[in-house]
Amino acid sequence: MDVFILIGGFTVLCLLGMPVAYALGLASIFAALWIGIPLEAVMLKTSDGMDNFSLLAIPFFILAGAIMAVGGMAERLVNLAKVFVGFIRGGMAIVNIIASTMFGCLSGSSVADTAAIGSVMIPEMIKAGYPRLFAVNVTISGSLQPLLVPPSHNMIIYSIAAGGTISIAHLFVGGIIPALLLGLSLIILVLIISHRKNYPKGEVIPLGQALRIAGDAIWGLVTIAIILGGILSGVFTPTESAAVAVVYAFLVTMFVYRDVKWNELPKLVARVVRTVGMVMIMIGFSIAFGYMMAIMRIPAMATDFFVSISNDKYTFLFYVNILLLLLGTFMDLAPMLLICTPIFLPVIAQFGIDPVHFGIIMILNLGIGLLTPPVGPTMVVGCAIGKVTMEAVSRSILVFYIPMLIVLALVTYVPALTLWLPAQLLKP
Amino acid sequence: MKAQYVRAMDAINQACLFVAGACLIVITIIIPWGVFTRFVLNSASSWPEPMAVLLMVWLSLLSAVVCYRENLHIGVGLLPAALSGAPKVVLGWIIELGMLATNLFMLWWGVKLVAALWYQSIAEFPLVSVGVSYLPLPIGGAIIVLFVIERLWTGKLFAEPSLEGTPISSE
Repeated sequence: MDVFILIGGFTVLCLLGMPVAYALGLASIFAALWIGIPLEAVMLKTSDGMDNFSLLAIPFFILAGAIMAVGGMAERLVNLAKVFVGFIRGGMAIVNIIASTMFGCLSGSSVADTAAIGSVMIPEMIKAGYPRLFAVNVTISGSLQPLLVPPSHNMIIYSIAAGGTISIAHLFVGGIIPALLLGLSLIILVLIISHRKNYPKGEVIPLGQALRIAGDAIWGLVTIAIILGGILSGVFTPTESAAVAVVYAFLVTMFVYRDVKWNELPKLVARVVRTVGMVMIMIGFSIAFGYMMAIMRIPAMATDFFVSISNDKYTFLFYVNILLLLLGTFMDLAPMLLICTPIFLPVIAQFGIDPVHFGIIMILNLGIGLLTPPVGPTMVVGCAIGKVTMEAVSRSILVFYIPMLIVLALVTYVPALTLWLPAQLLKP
Repeated sequence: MKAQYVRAMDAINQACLFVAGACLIVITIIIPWGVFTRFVLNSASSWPEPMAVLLMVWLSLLSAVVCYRENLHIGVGLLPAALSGAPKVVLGWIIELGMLATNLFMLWWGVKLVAALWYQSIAEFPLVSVGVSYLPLPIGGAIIVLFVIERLWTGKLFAEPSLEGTPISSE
């Protein structure tokens, strides 16, 4: 009955259409009333959930990404990618995927990536002679890598949801090889499609111009160096590296690129505030929700359940992947991470699965859910920019799920893909 | 009367946006300042971290208020989209009453929490009460209660999110 009040109450409130954050809050309050926990405790947990130094990295990374996005970074990265692969058949599609991966290292967000790269690439691809739907599909699919490369703030959310016990630096570095693998598999797919359908080639860019483009893009790429270098060397915590990245991004945008006017800054800050509002309150209430789950022993019950259906960790991971893929089509990434992480953490400890490995599996898996109907914010944004319907994209994108699912299976069953790089670069 | 109320709510929303934005800017300045004092001046200041965390709580709850008024919070919109007419209005009322309940709890129990902790001070800032870091809970709750009343009064239960100043998105 306790479980029904908390989980059932939350599910019903969500399905009715209440904001997920407040559904978490109200379900926690009802559950606390039901089992007689003082409500101050729920309030305390909610506020303490947001009262966390690691969390500061989230607004910083969102702000840095936003500054870079309006500052013309996306266009410069697209130009840089064109130098390397633009002349191949289907080159513009590959440019799209590579630019997305690089831009992901600045924004760490799938939707922001589709918005920034899509606004540049979709019109360019259509002008170059690619079908509109193909351009939209490539853009949407290419926006999965940003979730897996630093500074993916979903990794910070995962770490917080796990009680801050998992190193954000390890998660950041652990996602790099899966992200590159994903990019590579998508490139192979678009190469095959482009050759079959005879999509256009671009021109070879002369050396002088190429050097100028590279020089222009290097300013933005230094942000990646600040974030990664700072964390890897141990000079900065992820939060500090995020703050320094904001200052650097601001200086480059305002004084080097000068694409943004000073009077546009308040609007930019307001947009970031709104984004932060969506994320942070959800984190606060989910910490209270997780606290109630722990009191009601729900994670322990989940462990017993999974151990009873299988004692093999690979079978368990298979079930979890199927479950998350299904839930991910209905729910966004951040709330799913916040709700599922405290439930699964004791289970994976029981099965001996590394929490960094599991985090990458979850983020990749739930990230695919952002690209699927009915609830897929990345897909919605991609459709809006490409001026196509969700129905048309839902059908034509199917083939793009194949490389994603293959990479998900590889990441799930080959832990070294995630764990090798952090072991080489970071102290345990 | 109704129009005046809506105008007042507009002003409150703008004020929340302004304070939250100011918090964000201050945080963005003081954390790099902390890094600067540590590496360049070789004397780490102890105040930027706790100060930033305190402002973060204010930023979080006030920005959440803005997101509610502008219909930006993440939600599963399948059922509202499937309904129309009277059933949709009923659903809207149920959702808003849920919001009202949550925020009344935040207001009432938030006030009790702040009152209980008011005479303890934050370790790093002896002049500031611990209550200040919990104060955004009842304030945020109270403002959303006002906004819920506005929605029920004007009947704009499922306003479309405005495209002006859309968030960058969290995903």
